[in-house]
Amino acid sequence: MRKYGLTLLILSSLFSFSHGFDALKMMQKALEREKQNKDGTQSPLPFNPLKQGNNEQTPIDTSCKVMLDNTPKNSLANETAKNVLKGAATGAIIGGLLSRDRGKGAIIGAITGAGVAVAYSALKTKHLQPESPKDTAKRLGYDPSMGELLNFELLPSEVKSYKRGEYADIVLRISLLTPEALQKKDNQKDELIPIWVNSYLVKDGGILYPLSSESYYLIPGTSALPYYLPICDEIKPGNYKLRFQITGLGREVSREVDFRVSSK
Amino acid sequence: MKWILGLALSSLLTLLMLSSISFTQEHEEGDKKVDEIVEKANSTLRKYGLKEANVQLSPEGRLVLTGVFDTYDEFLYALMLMNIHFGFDKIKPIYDNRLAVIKKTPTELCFPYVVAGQECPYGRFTIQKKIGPAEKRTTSKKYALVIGVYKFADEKIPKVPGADEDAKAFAEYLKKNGYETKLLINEQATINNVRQAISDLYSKVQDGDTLVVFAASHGAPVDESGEVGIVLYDSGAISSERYCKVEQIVKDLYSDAAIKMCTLVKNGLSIREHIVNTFADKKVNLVVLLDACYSGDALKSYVGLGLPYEVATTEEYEKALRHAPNLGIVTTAASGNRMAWGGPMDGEFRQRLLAFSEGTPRVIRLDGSAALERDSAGARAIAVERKATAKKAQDTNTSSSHGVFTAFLLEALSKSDNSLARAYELSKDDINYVSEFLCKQAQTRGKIAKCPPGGQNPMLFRVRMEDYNFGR
Repeated sequence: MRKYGLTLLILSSLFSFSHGFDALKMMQKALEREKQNKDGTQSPLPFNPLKQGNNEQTPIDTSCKVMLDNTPKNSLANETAKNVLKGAATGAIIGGLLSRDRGKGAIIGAITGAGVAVAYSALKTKHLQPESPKDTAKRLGYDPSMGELLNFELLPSEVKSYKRGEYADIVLRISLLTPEALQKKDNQKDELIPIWVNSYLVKDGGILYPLSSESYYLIPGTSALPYYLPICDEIKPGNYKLRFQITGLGREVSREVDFRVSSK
Repeated sequence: MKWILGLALSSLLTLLMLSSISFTQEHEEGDKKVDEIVEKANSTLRKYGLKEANVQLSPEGRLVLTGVFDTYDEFLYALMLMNIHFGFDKIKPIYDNRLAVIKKTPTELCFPYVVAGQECPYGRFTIQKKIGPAEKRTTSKKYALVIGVYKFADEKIPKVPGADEDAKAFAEYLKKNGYETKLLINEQATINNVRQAISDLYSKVQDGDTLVVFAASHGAPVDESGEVGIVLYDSGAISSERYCKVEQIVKDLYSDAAIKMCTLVKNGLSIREHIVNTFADKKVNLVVLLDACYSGDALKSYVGLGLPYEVATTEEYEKALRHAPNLGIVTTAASGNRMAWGGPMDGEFRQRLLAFSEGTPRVIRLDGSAALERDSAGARAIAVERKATAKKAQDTNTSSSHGVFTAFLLEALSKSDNSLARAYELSKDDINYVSEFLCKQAQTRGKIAKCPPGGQNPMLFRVRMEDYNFGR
């Protein structure tokens, strides 16, 4: 038992350390890309590849292209799996260190850590989890006599502040309900509803500068569309307002989100 | 007594064991089949360069796409591949963020560009709106935007004979009927000019007004979902290599749609995005007429099952288009998988063409080359007139042809008291007949491989209007 526990301890320590190298790898990747550009082997980036003031390079590439290529987006299944591994690894280390019988402690710690990680993931990604038509109807006080319903929440609801190199994470929680969806049996196929998301940057004077128009097929209930906007070199410090307009089911709903980009 | 009970119990146990073995075998066979399908699907995705995409089986027994997709277009492309190989019923065509990741959405890609005050190379052009109260009027007005593009800035894009003439003719017709008309033809129909015209109209139109949008040009997909846009003077055409590769496997089944998907248009006019969505917050009566190839797919994203090669029926479009705000009635020259034809439609040519068809059995008449041989006098007359028209066009460097759709619709409008639905009913058979004839001629000359039966198939969707009368 002790032998297995120690092996687990070593493996989990290695796993934790390997994650620490992620930032270094990203920086190395960015520098390699920059070198390739100078050699003329790749097409130039649309934005400044690296900030170079007084012949000094910034430690991490925050060019828009690099940030877009390295988006931290992950599917919920992968996110949960990663968290479980991290939780089990951390649990094993702590359990192994605290227990007299290190092997047994590491195993108990790993199991506890994984359990905590599952609970933590569920809580952390609650806003990204889909919701069934019944649960959505209950939450919104929907009645089939109201006809079709389109609504959405725009998260975060408070004004958040981001620094260069970070991503402004915005989530659209879109609720779609039809009277038929509530009567659907489990063996019936889901109804597909087309929706369009128009996004705008709102500038002074209320002028809307279109970002883009995207269309998706969603099923009734609540679905989440996550966005990670890169706060990269071209994004100057200041206040920003985005408007999201969703059209579908013969309806149109608009919501706005504000965020701040700080200088440091 | 005990041995009877024992025997009964052992028989029961044997039966249970046997049934469980057979159930397990069936289950294993089912699992094996599912595994084979999943494996085949995954290897197909790899073959077409989607390295991080996978499929898995959903609880309802359909395949669901999982993994990492660079863009939503890539996700749609994966859906199309799965659809070709396994059939639409086997695929769940939704993006599920629990299982799949779309790394870069157009909003994320465009955000840095728009903040920097630059045009986003990843987005389609959209109209800037200024929010504010509009001046109130008590009477309604009629406005029209008419676009026709015969030649393009990019000379690699083939000319569209008659598109400019169609636009002029339709603008004239609208002006006679009291429309404040903005006409943009050829070099005038640039992206910026069209954008400006739409912005001007947006600031002018008020609740209760009518807005007619007519466009004649090439029709090509604006994105990989297959929704068709109008190619403008300075639009760019992008050869979509991967769809052309897909064409290799679908050419017998979906030839027209695959050809359509081979070329995407950059900075084209999207009817949904730039017209319907732009005017969504105005209670206008929107009437759209399109004379372009594949124009039946101009609003296809409103149809829930719209993948690149799928074409919905008029009924399906009407049902789905109820979600389109303010859209009144739409007429298109062709269905989503058909090319729209044009030629020297003026005067005598059309008379001869129609006279040529009279008295000849349809089954032979539709076979272009055979019909030409049967009635050589009629065929010669058409050939002579075509040459004369082509020479005239060359001499004046303008287009002197007309789109079959516009030519016949305009004529039918004059015969049907300016009623759009009636004119459509009056003209659609002629449009189909003449377009099929022109296609067969092109096929005889080796310019097109295959002509679909039945002509270009014009469409009319009644969304919030049973009919529209241009004269009232």
